[in-house]
Amino acid sequence: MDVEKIRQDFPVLQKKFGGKPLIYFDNACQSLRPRQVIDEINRYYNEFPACGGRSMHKLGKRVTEEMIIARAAVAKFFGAKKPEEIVFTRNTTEAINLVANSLGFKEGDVVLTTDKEHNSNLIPWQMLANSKGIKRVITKSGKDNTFSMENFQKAMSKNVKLVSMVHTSNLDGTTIPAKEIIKIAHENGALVLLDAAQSAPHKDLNAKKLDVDFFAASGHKMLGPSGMGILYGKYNLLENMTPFITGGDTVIDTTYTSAKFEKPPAKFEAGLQDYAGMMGFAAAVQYLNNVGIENIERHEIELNKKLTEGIINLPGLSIIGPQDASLRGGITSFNINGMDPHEIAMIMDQAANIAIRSGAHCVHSWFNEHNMKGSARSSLYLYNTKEEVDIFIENLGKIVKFLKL
Amino acid sequence: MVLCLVAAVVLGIVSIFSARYRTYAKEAFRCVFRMATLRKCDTDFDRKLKSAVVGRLIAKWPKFAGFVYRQFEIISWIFTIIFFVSLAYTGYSVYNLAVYNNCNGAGGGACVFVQNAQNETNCVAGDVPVSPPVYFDLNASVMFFYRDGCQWCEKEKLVLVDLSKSGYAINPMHIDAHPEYIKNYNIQVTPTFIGKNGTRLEGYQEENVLKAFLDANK
Repeated sequence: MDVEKIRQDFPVLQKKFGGKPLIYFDNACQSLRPRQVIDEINRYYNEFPACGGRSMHKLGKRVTEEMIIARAAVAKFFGAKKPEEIVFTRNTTEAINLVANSLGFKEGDVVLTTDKEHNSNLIPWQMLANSKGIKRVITKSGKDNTFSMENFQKAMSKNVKLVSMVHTSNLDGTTIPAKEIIKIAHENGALVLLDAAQSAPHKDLNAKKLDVDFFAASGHKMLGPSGMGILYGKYNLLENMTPFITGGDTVIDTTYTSAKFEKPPAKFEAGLQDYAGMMGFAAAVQYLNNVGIENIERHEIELNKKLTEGIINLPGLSIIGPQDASLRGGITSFNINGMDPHEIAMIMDQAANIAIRSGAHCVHSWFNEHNMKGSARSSLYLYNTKEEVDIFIENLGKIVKFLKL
Repeated sequence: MVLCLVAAVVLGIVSIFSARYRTYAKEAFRCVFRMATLRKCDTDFDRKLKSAVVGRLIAKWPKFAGFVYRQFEIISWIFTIIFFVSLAYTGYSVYNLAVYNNCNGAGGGACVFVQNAQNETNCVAGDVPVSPPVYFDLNASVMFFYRDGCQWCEKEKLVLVDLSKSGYAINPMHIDAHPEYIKNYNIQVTPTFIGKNGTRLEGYQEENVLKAFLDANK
């Protein structure tokens, strides 16, 4: 994997901020975008900025064709049996909400999650608990915050309707053993929804191989445009789900009192869509395919090992999750005793243009449970380099050495 | 945090002209309000400021950055006090300039803006200000137009010194400092005296003539 060549594709990496280059370690929030994705988005606006799936004129037909091509490309990337198993959404959050609101939950249904879910895979179930009376069961993590199969098996039962879990945690980068979980869930008659926001960009996520029922992912975390996500769902499941957001393009026909809904995915894609976004998403998966997702995963872990080794012995520094970087992918969440995580992030930004995230990372529940305010988090991706990691270590070292009280 | 006071003033003014700073101004004002009601600032404003300063320092002067980080509250207080004292002095000087045409107020010999007082007192940059002549009165009804190197002007000043003993005064109009006076007042020669209603005397005047003119323009 030629990282320098890859970096040339990212316009923002060619810029200087205050005379210094950008060191972007906030990929768990959003990734940067390559020229190829930007050009594809521009192609829509330059060449056929019209409605898809409706209009009969040249531009409209062209958009419809590009939508089909984009959906097929994304479906192929994720190992879906057919393109109709891919529903385009705005983001992972909307995709999870779609399942929550369309799967037909009723009182007493049990939803099983982990204890470190992103708010997007926590709040929909809280809302359903309040509105429909579903029951929520939380599987506690084991030591080092890793997944505990023992606790999962204890929590699992024939009453569980859906296991909805974060595949790779945005908090600490750990990944659950999805294949085993899906097997156990299916044996108990439960469906499985994976929050794949952090796994889809960094790991081989194949719907067929995993036999997962649903997963949700965000295009903007995997080189795609902002405001694009997908829900993968097995077609037979999607077919039987009621629409979530309804309106134009979700229906074949309506009267004043009734509506005949389209088949998936159209029945879930209400209103005019982000056609440029779809095309950009397709270009993003194409780019990742060309680089090779296994290469990307290997590269991130190598960098994260170097980063971890460089900071783990800093006085007062603690890493959330396992100390072994290979178990955390490209993510390292950490705290420095006596320092506010936001301060760490802001100082790193001012000192060396190092962009990291700070705060509760939308996993407030976990931090509240552990009596913590939050953490600073670095998250790596395919275009990050060893030199950037060295600068990160150097600057974090300065912060610990000179600022720590 | 106390630096919010400074930020509120600065950002408050800047945000009038630029929407970009309005969010920061709101945060600063909220911080000030919280401080005024003896509560901790609940916005990120203080932390952002501190981090912005320390972040810029740590790259080149890490030890100094550490000092600033640890003593930020004290440094903020010092900076804030200096800021408001400077602001007060600036306001006082602007007031004096408006009222007395002089940064130091009535009788002040400051030399910043008013060249005519400066020349009369031989006041140059760096000099200790000297009081202007007793016959100078910015409110006097008779204007005395003069310039440097004008012998008859210098001779006329001796007359004015004598007249000042009887309470007479003139409004000094130094042409070298204000060349626009030539056009504005149609000055042909110096010295020139212009009284109320535009009556004028041109050239050097004996004491009795000048006295009569000053009396007529009381």
